[in-house]
Amino acid sequence: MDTFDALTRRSFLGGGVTGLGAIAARQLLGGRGAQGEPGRYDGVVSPRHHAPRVKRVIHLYMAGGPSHLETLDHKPKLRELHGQPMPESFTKGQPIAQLQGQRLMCLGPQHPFARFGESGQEICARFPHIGSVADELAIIRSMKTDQINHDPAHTLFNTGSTQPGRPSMGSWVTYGLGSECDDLPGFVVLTSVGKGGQAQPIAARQWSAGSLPSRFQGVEFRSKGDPVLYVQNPAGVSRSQQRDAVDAIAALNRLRDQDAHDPEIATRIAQFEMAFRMQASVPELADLGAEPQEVLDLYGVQGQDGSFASNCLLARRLAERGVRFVQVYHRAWDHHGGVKRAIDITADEVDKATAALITDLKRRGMLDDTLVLWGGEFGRTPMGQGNGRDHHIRGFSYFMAGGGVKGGVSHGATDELGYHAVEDVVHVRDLHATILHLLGIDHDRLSVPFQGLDVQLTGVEPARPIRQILA
Amino acid sequence: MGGMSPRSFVASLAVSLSTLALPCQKPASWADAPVLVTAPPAVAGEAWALRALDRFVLRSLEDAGERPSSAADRRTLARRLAFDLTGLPPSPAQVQRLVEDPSGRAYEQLVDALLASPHHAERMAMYWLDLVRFADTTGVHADNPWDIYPYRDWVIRAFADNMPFDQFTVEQLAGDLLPDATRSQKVAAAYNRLNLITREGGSQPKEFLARYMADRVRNVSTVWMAATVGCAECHDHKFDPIPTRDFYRLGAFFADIQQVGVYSQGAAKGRFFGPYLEVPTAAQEEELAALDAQVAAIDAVLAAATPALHEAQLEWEQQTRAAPPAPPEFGVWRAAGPFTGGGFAAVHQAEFGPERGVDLDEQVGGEPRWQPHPEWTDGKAHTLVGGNTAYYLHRTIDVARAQAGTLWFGSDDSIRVWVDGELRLDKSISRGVAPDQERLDVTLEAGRRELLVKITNGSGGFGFFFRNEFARMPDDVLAQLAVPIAQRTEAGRARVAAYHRSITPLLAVQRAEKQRLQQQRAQLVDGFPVCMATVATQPAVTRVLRRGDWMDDGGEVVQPGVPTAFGDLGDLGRRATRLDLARWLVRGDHPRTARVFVNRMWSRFFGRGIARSLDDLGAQGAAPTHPQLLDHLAKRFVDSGWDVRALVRDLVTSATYRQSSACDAATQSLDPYNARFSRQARYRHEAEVVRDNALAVSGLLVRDRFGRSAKPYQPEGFYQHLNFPKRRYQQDQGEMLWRRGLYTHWQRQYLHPAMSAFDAPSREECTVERARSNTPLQALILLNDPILVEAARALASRTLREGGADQLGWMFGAALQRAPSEQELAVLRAHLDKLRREYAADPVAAGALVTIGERPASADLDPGLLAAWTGVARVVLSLHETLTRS
Repeated sequence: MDTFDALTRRSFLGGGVTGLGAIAARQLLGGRGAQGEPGRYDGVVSPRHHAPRVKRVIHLYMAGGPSHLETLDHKPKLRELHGQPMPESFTKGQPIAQLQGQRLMCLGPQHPFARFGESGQEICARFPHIGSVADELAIIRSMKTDQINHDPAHTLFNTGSTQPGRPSMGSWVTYGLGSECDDLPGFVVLTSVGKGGQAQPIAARQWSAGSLPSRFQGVEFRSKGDPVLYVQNPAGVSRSQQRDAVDAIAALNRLRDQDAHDPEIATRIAQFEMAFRMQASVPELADLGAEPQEVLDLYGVQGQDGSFASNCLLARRLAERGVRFVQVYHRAWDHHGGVKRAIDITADEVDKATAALITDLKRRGMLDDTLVLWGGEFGRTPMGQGNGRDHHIRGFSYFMAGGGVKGGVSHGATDELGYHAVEDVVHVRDLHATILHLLGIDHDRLSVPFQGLDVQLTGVEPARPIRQILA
Repeated sequence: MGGMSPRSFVASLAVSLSTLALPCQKPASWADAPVLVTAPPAVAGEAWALRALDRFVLRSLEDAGERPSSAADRRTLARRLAFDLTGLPPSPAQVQRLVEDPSGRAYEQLVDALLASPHHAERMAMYWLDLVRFADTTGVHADNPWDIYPYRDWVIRAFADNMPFDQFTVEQLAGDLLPDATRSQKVAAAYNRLNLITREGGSQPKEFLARYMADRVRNVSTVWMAATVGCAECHDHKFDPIPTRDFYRLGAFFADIQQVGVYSQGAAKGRFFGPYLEVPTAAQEEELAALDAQVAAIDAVLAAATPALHEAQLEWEQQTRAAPPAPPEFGVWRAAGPFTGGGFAAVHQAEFGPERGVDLDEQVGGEPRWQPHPEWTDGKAHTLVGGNTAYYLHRTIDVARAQAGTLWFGSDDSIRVWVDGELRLDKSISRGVAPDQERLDVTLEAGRRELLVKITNGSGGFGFFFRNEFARMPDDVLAQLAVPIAQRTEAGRARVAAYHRSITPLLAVQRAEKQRLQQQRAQLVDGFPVCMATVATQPAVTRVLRRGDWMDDGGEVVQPGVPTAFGDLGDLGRRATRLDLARWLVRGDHPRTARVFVNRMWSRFFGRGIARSLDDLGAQGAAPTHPQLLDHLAKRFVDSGWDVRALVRDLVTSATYRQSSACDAATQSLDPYNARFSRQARYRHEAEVVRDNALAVSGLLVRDRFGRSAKPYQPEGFYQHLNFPKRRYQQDQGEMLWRRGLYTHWQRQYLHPAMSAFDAPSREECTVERARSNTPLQALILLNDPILVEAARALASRTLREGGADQLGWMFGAALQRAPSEQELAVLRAHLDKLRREYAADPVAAGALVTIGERPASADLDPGLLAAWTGVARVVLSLHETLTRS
């Protein structure tokens, strides 16, 4: 059984792959085992380009575009101008989504802000739990993106390009670094919907491996039905019968290999073995009943119910098991109308669990080597759309917490009305560069050939890690 | 196959490549240099080479001091050929004929049989559909379904007919522009509509039009030119043959396509993405012709004069002269409203007064309650405004003589109708307004009658429709009737006779029948499938977008043109069109297209290309390992009249193709990428073939071709993240469940999970080469996907029925076309025996396993036994060998 185990460990991510081109294949071969445990796929960035500060990433993805003006970016001046025309100097020549051709009026912040923690970070008072961990957060108030509609903006945020077919962040990271987990995928996606905004569609493209092999693709853990597709045995097949089937397949494949000498056979055997293990480890992982009541209370959950809160707890369990990249989508932030009430509802869904995750990671000593990101694909207009806000790409906010990131700091700023990022502007690609940097990757040195180009997550424009917030 | 060489489609291609000089410029790279025609080289191992191409391969091996691998065994060759050429396993008889062949001719016979199989075209189409990014949905935001599968069927038919590749190219890029384009050619041109499109509200049309152009440029340049243009959208790139200006010149070819940037939010039958082309099935066309013939026959009867009709006409004329028709006269519509109070149903039920009597002079707040609406003409839908609101509509009818007739109504939503205060129609309904939704037959007595209508709206649209049918007589007929028959002109006589035939009770049956047939025809035509169509219109202005910025209106205006590095269209004296582009691509003096295609075909049959970068020929991509071989094949291909099937046949009948794929560790390390093709390739089947093989082996496969895409079993809730509208997967029933994988509904954002797990691409972009990964998710699908469990049970049933004395051997042979070894048999037997004991003891589990899938389990087989054999079949269908082309 020893050899079997070794094989299995190596093969979960290290299995055979073709069609990537010789360079990548060489990287795959060369990258194995140099850094992590012997036999485990360690990614193409081996050794790491520099000392990593974190091992894993949890991206709390506020999909739909949260209003920075009711979360992280306080604009008293906008309150003063509430109900008055938006000065044209801000909006002239700018791309506009649903407000095209309409009269643009200022909509003041719909909720008060307060200062939190020793650092006194300014955060919307509607998010007191996030406020309670303010001293852990590096808040970026000068984010900028290029895409004003959900689908392209998500695609840009996840892949660095709006052109479909590029690998997503999680795929890049698992391709680059491998995973530290042998019986779960290295890149997991969790999703929830809320009651405060229309649930914009999310394409599987957002966690696609693109031109990378499909084993780097994000695997969606579902709250209804099988947590992972096809993870259940067929009706009428017991676990021991499944074991027997996997053994019989392995025995016959091994007999075949005596003639064929095909390295893919060993990989195939290992992948069946891994699949069989996943059939046990996935339901075990998804069972939140194993958590103490105190932990359930911290997050504010009863059990796995598909909510954002239960997904935050699942994210911690995934991180604990060595999963490299977890994305937790909350698809409830598209607040075109009634932003005040929508923020009320969405804050109830998101605030406590976000803070709980950071707190929980910290007390387990895991925050030091985990990067937590919180934010959406864009922000929302200072101009009202009725009593809501339209999509906005020229300035919005994000926060980060965890290893390698300074706590209790703010970075960058928008103008006095929260329209343009004007100070220390951070483009999405700079955020990508920062994430990769913290993981020990130089963003300019991780690329794959695609349609005749060497593509990289940060794209062709220069990108820079945000040095000012790095610890 | 020698007899199948097709005529070249484009006449200019009769010119051989070798005789043509390139334009006076330095070629951009080897891929654009003139084809070098060299005689197949001399080789030492003459006897090995079967085709000219083998000499090129052998010579490079001999120069390196290597030898080709020995030929694969015949069973392996039968499998390789069958999977490569049809995507399905060989039949036992095909394997047997090849294995037992004493003549040496069976191999080529098998090749020809497989090439002639209807499934060969499906196999070829699978690859082409990846290139052109064929899918069943828009790919952006809500990822809505669209109607474009007829294009997929066109591709299959084109390969089935062995359409020359030049014609294949021209029809896709510009079939609509061909003189007297056939329906088939117009369907082919739907290629130009396969780009991703959006319906997302708030999107900027201008931005998306720029995207659509870039999408098309990337596709045409990758598919036909294997040229790198992705970068050129934004800036010139020092290694790329295509500068930014050329990118937009290429895009300008497509500026004539009728389209919008953001597609509409509302359309009948979900057809948001026009223009469309009707594409009736053969059966529908037959039905239409039959209906038209029936109508023509009735028309003949209706037009024919008979003595009986003549007599009836005389009598009718007499009566009519005595009492000419006097149709009722309808007064102007007057409306009262809006009336509200309560919900939709309550407003419809409520009596607001007019039903108890209408006083046209009634005043409300100093205004007349009944407002006249002379603009509400008959035979048209008219709009009202309001939600949970009712309007009353009134008009007088002056009747000179008592008569019967029909009132026709349409309403959005509910409707009530009173005639002279009597409620004659009451319908509570939610709908949009359309003509003739309600029919009311009335007999009106002489005098002034009153018509009152109440229309009640729930939400959304609000309106009504009205027209009436009473006997009328055209003035010219009336005038003729005043003239005695003998004095009428011939035309006058004919006019009156024709009019009489149109109203005489003698022909009432025929008229009714004609009306019925016409309705049937309208319904039939309404049900025709449609295909999104490419329709040329006034070309939009194309500007270079500096740095790819769609908001930039200051860039240079460009005209359509081919990449300057690759050639020149010459002076056409007019704006170049898609047709010019297509014809240029397949012009004989333009070597790139042929090189690109033969290189890709080679990769299909040998595991990798002669030039390895299938998507980047010449620029940064790897140079060909065998440049002379590539040119030899490219020249033959063009000289053959772009005969695709002859090319395929040439490749698969070669000695190079017949080599074994076996590879020991030493060879593997010496030549890991098989640089000299000294062996064949072995790799996992494509996603579609994994499915098709299991279905074929088990007997479940439904071999129908063509038609709408199929929706097989899919995990519940897989579309949960789709919205606008929320999507619930409508799984098919019956035969559609077991169709080949290439017909699977291709949802770009959520491709069927079993397809994507086996590396089928989303088809958002051109895919020239799929990854071939080996993952635990694939193992989960092989073990647990219901279609594969159902296939295992069907294979088990077949085994128990057809397996004879050696059932295990039979099952193994059915899947792998070989007998199991003693050791293999021992593994299978041990597994079977254990499962038999377990399922005999657990009939509930057995029953559960054998009832997975929609195909009913054979009632005459013992469920315990069937379950045990199903378990063995799961193992056989999951073997590495089962999944592998070697």
